[in-house]
Amino acid sequence: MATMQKEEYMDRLRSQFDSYLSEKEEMEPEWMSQVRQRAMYAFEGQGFPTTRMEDWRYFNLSSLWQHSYSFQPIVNFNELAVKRNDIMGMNSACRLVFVNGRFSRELSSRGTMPRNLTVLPLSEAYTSHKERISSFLHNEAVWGENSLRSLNTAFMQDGALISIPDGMIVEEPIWLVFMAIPAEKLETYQPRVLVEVGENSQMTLIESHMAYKNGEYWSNPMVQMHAKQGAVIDHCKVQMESPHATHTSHYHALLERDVHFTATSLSFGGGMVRNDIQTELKGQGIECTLNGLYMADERRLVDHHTSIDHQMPRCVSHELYKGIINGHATAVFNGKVCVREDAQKTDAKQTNQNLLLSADATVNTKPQLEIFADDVRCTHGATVGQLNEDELFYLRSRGISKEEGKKLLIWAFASDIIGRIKVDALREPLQERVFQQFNAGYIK
Amino acid sequence: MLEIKNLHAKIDNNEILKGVNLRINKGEVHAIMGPNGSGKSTLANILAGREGYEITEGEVFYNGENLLELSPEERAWRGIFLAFQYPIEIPGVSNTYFLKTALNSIRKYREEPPLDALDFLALVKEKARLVELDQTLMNRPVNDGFSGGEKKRNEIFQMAVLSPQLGILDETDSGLDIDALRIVANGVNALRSPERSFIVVTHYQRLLNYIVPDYVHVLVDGRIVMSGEKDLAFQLEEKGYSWVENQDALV
Ligand SMILES: Nc1ncnc2c1ncn2[C@@H]1O[C@H](COP(=O)(O)OP(=O)(O)OP(=O)(O)O)[C@@H](O)[C@H]1O
Ligand SMILES: [Mg+2]
Repeated sequence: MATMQKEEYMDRLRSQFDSYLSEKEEMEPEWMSQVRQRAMYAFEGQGFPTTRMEDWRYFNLSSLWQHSYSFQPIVNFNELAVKRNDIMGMNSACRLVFVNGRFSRELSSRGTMPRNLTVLPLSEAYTSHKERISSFLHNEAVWGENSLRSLNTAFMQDGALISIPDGMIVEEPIWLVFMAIPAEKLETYQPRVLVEVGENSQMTLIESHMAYKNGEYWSNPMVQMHAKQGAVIDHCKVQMESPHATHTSHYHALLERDVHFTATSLSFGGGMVRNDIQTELKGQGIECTLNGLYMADERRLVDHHTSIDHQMPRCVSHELYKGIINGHATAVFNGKVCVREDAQKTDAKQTNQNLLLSADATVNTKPQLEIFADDVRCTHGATVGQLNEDELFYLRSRGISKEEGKKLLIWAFASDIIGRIKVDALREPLQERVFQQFNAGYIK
Repeated sequence: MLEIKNLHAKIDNNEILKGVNLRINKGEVHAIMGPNGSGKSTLANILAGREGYEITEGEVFYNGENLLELSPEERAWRGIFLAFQYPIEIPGVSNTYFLKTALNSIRKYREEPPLDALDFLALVKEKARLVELDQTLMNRPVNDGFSGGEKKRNEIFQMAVLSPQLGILDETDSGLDIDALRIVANGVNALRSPERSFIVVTHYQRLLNYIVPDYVHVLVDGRIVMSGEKDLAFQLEEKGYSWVENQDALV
């Protein structure tokens, strides 16, 4: 495919946007087109991130504009024919399923969720839930923070609105399944998820990104979470995109006082993967836990940028990210922890551990601590190591083969994160899936 | 069963073993004693197949096979078991899963069907009783946070479960209190049979009161400088290794 110059790309993108907008204008309220236009305008000002920017040093996005991806994915398949039981979440009671960025009614199910709980595709909620949606989408400080978020805002094809009223304990997990059925033509999926959890409510949210079949595409999802006082939230994201896909995801969580928030990022697929997770701790007594497990082999790249912004006193944050890197793959972990002047008595702990399985694998790990308060406890630690030879010899001396022994040790390393997942319906298939990945030649 | 001929081994270019000769027949128990740093663990590790040693001369035959060409697991499948001087902790791997995988790998080599969960549990119960191992340790990760004595018991327990042909015990007695020593020794004795041999590395004659050896060898500076029957251990205890070194010329 012939490559393009940036200017030429921007021109084409603009005309793609204009035709997209005129199509959308027929279905969406006026204020939505204004949001889209503002976002497009912001994107044009920002441009794609480049590797000259510190946060994007290891992540070269040039292929995204050199090959033009269509923002209007074609959806021509029989929905029931693609309902595969091995796609995680496809059988969960309450699920919203998106195929190539668009909502699929056939594949989705509300389950037995109470009436006053909102779980809707965005495309059906613009009018009925205007206030909620617009308060998220008018927050330009959040979506304008980087250009890929702006792009998502300009082009979002669909997404989910989840709103839990105050004081509601939602037992069943709410599952968002993003399925890709890659087409001949390069396409990009830009789903947007807006979540509001009421005071003292509890919910589990699972987000899975899967490929129905292998192929090239780019998914650029963005999630905005607003957790009100005392809410308890467990959010797991599973990324199992096609090995040739690019996945750039953006997560912004705004946490109020006494919120207990856990976000787990499980990143196994994709060719080029970027997960940005940003949390703002806006009240006292918040407990924020960020866990992650990433695996990459061959020439793949997996990049996590996390940010925990302690703005108020007496909050606790724990972060544990583990990576298993093989082949010629590269992993990046950048963990920012900011403790502002008012955030006295902050207790922040960050750990990043990496297991390198080959001499050609690379890890770039960097803690980034910005501390402006004096009465705080902040620790961080990063390790990059190989499998422990003594442990492996011990296993082998008992008759466990070298290959099996390696699997066992890597499994032990990974299960530290997987074992923390509370939802059985996620943890059990994941354990199997990670084992499969090991058996499919991940470990040699 | 085992024949070590003129074995020379180096680590990082330092010669540690300088011509070890040893022949062990079925059913025999051989004790190896010797000062710190003389190469006892090196010999034990080489027999179990640990990497990092350079064999510069000599050969080792095990039931007619060239042992040095086999991987550690291939040796385990053929019945070699090393009880480590310093057992390794493996966080995250449960003892039960570990041992079951090990046992079934060995059974597979022996062309025996894998043990199912129930049969395995019964076996574990029986063998844990043998060395009075607290069964709750089975649910913990391998050796993780075990006390020194628990680790040693766990080694003998594993040996009992895997039922090897040649058990190599590297200072299993050190770090054990007197009761534990007796328990562990009884465990080993229960495994003694005309088909099974042992190499028992120890510094103390005490252990040999419980596990009575057929032969005692003294390893000094990478060579077996003296061999004898069980009374040799008494003489050593009395007179110390310097006595052996002075007798060097007699060997
Ligand atoms: N990895 C290594 N690198 C360098 N030297 C080593 C290594 N391992 C062992 N050695 C050396 O080899 C020699 C023999 O060690 P070995 O552990 O076999 O002694 P040992 O007889 O078992 O002693 P002990 O009674 O203290 O257990 C020692 O001098 C030791 O320092
Ligand atoms: Mg030793």
